[in-house]
Amino acid sequence: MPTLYRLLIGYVSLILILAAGGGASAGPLDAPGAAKALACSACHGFAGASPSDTMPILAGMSPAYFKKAIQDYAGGKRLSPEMEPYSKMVLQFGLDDIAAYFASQKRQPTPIMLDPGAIARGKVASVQCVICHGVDGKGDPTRAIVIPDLTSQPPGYLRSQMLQFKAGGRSSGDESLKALKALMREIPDETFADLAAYYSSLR
Amino acid sequence: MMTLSRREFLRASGTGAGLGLLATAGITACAAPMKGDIMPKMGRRVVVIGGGWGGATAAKYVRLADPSIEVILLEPNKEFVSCPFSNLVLSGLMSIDSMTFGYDGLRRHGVKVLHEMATAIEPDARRVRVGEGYLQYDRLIVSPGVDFLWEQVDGLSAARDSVLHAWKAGPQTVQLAGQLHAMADGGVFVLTVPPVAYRCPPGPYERVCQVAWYLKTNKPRAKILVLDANKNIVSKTGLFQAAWKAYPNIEYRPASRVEKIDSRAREVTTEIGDKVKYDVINLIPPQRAGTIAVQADLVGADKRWCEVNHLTYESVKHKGIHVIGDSTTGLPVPKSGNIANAMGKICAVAVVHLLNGKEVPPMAPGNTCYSWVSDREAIAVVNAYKIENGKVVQIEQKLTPGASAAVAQNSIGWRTSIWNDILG
Amino acid sequence: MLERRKFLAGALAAGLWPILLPRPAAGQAGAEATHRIEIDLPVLAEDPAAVPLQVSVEHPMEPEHFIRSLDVSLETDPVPHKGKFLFTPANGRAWVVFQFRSGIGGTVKVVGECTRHGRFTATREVRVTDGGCSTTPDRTARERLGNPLIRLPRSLRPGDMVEVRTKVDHNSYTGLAFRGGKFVREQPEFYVRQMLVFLDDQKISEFQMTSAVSPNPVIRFALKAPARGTLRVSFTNSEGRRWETTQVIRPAAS
Repeated sequence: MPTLYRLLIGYVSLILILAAGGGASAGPLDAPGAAKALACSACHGFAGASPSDTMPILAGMSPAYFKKAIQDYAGGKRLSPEMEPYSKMVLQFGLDDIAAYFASQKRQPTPIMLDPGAIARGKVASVQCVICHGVDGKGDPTRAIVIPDLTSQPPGYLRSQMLQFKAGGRSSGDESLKALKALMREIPDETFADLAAYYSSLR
Repeated sequence: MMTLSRREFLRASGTGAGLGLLATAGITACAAPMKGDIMPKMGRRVVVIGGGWGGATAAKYVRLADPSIEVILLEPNKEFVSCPFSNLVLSGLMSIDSMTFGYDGLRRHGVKVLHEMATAIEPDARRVRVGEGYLQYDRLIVSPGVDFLWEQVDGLSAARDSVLHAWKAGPQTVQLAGQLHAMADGGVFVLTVPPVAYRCPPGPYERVCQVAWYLKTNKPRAKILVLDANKNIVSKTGLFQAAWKAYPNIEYRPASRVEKIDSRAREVTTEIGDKVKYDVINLIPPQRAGTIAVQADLVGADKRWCEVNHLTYESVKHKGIHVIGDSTTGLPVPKSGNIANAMGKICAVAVVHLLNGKEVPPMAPGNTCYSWVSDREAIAVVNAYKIENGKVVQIEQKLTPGASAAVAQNSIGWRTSIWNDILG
Repeated sequence: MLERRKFLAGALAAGLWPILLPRPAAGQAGAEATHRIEIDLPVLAEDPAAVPLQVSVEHPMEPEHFIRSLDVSLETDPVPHKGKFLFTPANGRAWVVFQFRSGIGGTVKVVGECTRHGRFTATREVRVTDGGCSTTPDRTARERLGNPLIRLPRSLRPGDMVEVRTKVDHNSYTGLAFRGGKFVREQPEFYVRQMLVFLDDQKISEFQMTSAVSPNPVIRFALKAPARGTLRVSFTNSEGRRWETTQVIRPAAS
C-alpha cells in the first residue's frame, strides 16, 4: 500500500520533527484554537483532516470562508441540523481562534478514491467554473463574496453542495450566490459527480 | 494524518508488528500472573481504564497533547467493537466485522495497550491493581462504561446466558441476530427498555426500527412487542413515533417495566402484572457505572453514577482520578458515544495541562446522534454546549426535520470520522 | 412498605409479587400516633418527566383517627402542585407511590392531615438531571388512552395489608412552554385529573392529580383486604372522559 506507506513516513517525520523541536509539550494541541476545536474532530477529523466523503476538510481553509460558513450555519441561512448547534459552539468558544487553528493546518488530500474517467470529464466541464474558482481551483478568499478553495475536498461533499446550490437550498436569499445558483441550474445533475471528482483531484 | 483503513486494522491487530514503527515494546499478557509493580514508572504517567469510546480517545489524545507523558491503557478486550451501528447487524445490513477494530492505531501513537482488567484502584497510593500486580499513575482516567443491575429483574441473574442484552457490542450482538433470524414467521420478539438513565437513550428505539424493518421484510407475520419502563419514548420521541408508522408489526407499551422473567416458560411479567410470552427476548437490564467505578467508590450516593468536575472530569470524590463517558452524571448530556469521545479529548487535554502546571482551557462537549429507522433512512439529534459558571450548560438542541437518506449518508461520514478519531 | 433501600436503588424497585405489606408495629393501634412523613425520592432523578415518589406515615387508620390526606407539591416548579391522595381506614396504611414531573427539582413538600390532630408537614430535596436528548413527544398522539388496569394478589386473607397497583394509559401535558425566559401557556392542559377507588359501593380512596403527574401513571396504594368484595377504580381526565376497571376479591381457600 504505497499511499499508506507514504502517509506513515510523513507521520513519522512529523513526530520526529516535533520531538526534535525540544520542550516537554511541543505538540499538535498547543495552538490556542486547538483545545477549542476538539469537538470538531469527531466529524472533521483530527486537525480538520476529514477522512470521510461527507464532511469537508477544514485543514488549510481560509479564515474568511470558515467564518462566513459558521455565521451562515448559526444564522440558519446555510441549513444543517448538525452544523447549526456546532456553529453556535464555535461562536461561543472563539471564532477567530478556531478559524486560525484550521487555517494553519496543512491540507492533506482526501483519502477517498477518485475515478480517472470522472476527473477527465470534470475537467472539461469545469471551464465555466474557472472564472470564479480559478484555473487551480483555489478560489479567492479576499474577494467580498469569499470564493472557497475546492481542491482536495472529498468528492461526496463537493457534489452534495453543488446539488444544494442548484436546488436553491444553500443560503437562500444570499445575493452574492445568485450568479452561482443560476449557473448551477444549467448543469445536469450527472455532471456534478464529474466536477466533484475533478476538483477533489486538484492539489 | 494516519487514515484508518479497516483492512489495515484487522491485518495489523493480528500480528501487532507490521506498521508499528512507533510501537513501544509490546507488553503481552504473560502466562504467569504478574506480581508487584508490573511496569515501574520512570517519568510522568497517565493510566486509562477502559478502551472504549471514551478511554481509547483519552489515551490517544494525551499522547498527542504531550508525548513526554507515558500512557498505559487497560482494556481486557483485544478488539474494539462499535456499539453505534451494531443495531444494523441485527437487521443484517452490516456485519460485525465491519465495525471491529484492533488497537494498533493507539500503539502507533505510543499508547501502551495492556489487555488486562483493572481489578481495583488505590487512590491514596495512586495505583491501579491489575490481578496480583499494580501500576503506579500520576493521573488516572477511568472510562468503564456501564454494567448491569441484574438483580432488579427477578430471575434474570440465573438466566444471563440465554437472555441476551446485546448492549455491549460483540458476541451477544451476533447471537441475538442469529436468534432473530431463526425465529419463526409469526413469532413474537420482545424488547424491554430499562428506566433512564442507561447507555444510549435512542439505542433501544433504533433497535426496534431495525428489528421491525427486518421482520416486515422477511417474516411478515411476526411482530415486535416493546415493554418500556419509561413513560414514553425517551429520545427523538416525535421522530421515532413518525418512523414507527411504517411498521404495523410494532406494539409499544410504555410504563411497563419488566419485573420478572421466567426463561423456561419464555415469559416476562411487568410491574402491572401483564404476562408476556416471547419467542425471542432482548432484555436490556437497568444499568449503572462500570463495576470498577463502584468498587473504587467513585459513584455518588445513588451508587450508580459518578459525579465529576465539568471542566476537567476529575471525580468529586477522589482527587487525581478522572471519570468520563457513560459512567458520569450531572452534566446535561446523553450517554452517547459522541459524548464519550468528546469527554475523552477534553479530559486528556485537561490532564496534560494539570500535569504541566498550566490552567485548564474551558471546553464543552458536543453531541451528535444518528438513528437508522430503516435500511436507508436515518434521523438525528444534535446538542451543543457551553461552559457557564464552571458548569456544562446546553446552548441548543436540534433535530432533523424527518428521516432521510441524506441523514443516513451523513451518519456514514460520521462513523468513518469518529472511529478514526478514537483509534486511528 | 417497600424497604427504603430497595425503593431508592434504581428508583423503581423490583418488588416480589404478591406483596404483603408488613403489619403496623405491634401495639400501634392505641400507641401514640406519629406525624412523621417518610418521603422517598431518588438522590438524582434521571427523568424529569417521571420523578418517582413514595410517601407514607406510620399512623393508625382507625375510623375515629386516621390520616385523611397527603398533599405533594414543589413550589418552584411551573406546575407546583403534584397531587393529593385522600385515604380512608379501608386503606389500612397511609402510603402511596406515584411519579411526577419536575423542571429542575427542588424542595418537595408533603402536607399530611390527621383527622384528630390537623396538619403536619415534611420536606425533602430532589435533584433532577436531564439526559439531554429527551424531546417533546408528538402532541397530536392521542391513540393510546384508557386501558385501566388493577393489580392485586389473587387471593387474600381478610385483614392482610396488600399493595394495589393501578395504571392508565394517558398522556400528561402541562400545556406550558418555556419562552423568553419564562413559562407561558401554549395549549390547554391534558391529563388524568382524578382517580377514585371503590370497594363495592364505598369510596375508599381518591387521588386528585394535576398535569404534573407523569404520563401513563402507575399508582400504588395500600388496601386492608376485606373478606370479599369488588374493587373498582375509575379514572377521569381533564376533558371529563372516564375509564373504569374492576377486580373481584375472592375469599382465600381455607
